[in-house]
Amino acid sequence: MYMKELIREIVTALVDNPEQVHITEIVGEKTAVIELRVAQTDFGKVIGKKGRTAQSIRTILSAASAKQERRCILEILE
Amino acid sequence: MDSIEIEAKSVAEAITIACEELKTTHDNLTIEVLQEAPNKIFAFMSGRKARIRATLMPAKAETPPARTAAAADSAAAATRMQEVLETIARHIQPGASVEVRNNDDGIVMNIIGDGSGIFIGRQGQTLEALQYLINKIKVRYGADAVPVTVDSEAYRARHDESLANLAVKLGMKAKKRSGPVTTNLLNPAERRIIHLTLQKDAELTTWSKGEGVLKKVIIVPRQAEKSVNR
Repeated sequence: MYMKELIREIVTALVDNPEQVHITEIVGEKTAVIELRVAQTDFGKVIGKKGRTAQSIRTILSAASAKQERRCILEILE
Repeated sequence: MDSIEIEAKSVAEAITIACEELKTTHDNLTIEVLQEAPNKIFAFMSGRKARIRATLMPAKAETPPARTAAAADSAAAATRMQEVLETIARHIQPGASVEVRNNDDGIVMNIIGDGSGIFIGRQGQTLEALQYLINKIKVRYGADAVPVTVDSEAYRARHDESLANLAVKLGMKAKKRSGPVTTNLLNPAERRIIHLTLQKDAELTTWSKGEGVLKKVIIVPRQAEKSVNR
C-alpha cells in the first residue's frame, strides 16, 4: 500500500502522461510484487538508458522496504 | 516573515549563502547561530558544519529586489523538486526532511533522517539512485542545467575524502612498482576526484578504461606510460 504510493510519486514525476500510470500490488507471504503500467510513449522514460532509471527506482524501493517484513519487487509491464 | 536555516563550513560562509538565498544584504538579516563549526582539522572527521538561522527583517522586506522571471522560475522548480524528494524520502522514512542550499557546483539537497544511513545505502547506492532520479525529474520541470547533488549525513564529503586518500595511496603503489595500478569500477564523479587528485603529481598520469557509466581509472608512472596498452 505504502510502497505503491512511493512508486506512484516517482513515476508520475517522470512521465509525460501521469494519468495513464497504473500500479497494482500483489501481496504474497514474503514478497510483494508491484506491477507498473505506463503509456506506450512513456515506456522508455521509466526504463531509462541501459535500464538505469528502472534500476534506480528498484534501489529506492529496496531501501524503502528494508524495514518492512516483505521484500518488494518492481515489474514494469508493457 | 522569511526565515531560513543554512548549513555551511563556517558561520561566515553560511551568512553569505543566506544573503544569496534571500536576495538581500547582511544588514537586512537577523542571524542566529545554531551551531558553531568545529575547527578545520575536526571538520573533516566529524562532518559537522556551522548552522545558522537567518531571518529577513520585516521593515525592509517590503522592498525585495525585483527578481527576473527566469530566477523566479528556477526557484519554483527547485522548490517543486524539493517537495518531490521530500515525499520520496518520507516514504522511505517517515519524518525525514530535505533542506536545499547552493554551492559552487550547483544545488545540494540534503536529506535529514534519523542518522541510520538508510538514505545512503551500501556504498552510497541509494543516494546515487535518488540523485539520478531527481536530476531526471529536474529536466521535466525545465529547471536550469545546474546539477543537483543529493546528500545525507555529510556522506559526499566523507566519500570524496576517502577517494582522494585512495588516489594518493594507489599513486604511491604505482610508483613503487613502476607499473600500472587500477581502481575498482567508479562513476564519473568518483573518477573525477581520482584524476584531479593525481593531476598535481607530475610523475603520474591517469586515464579511464571501460564501457558504460562505470569505468576503471588506470594510474601509471610517466616513465612506464609507453609500455602500457591503452
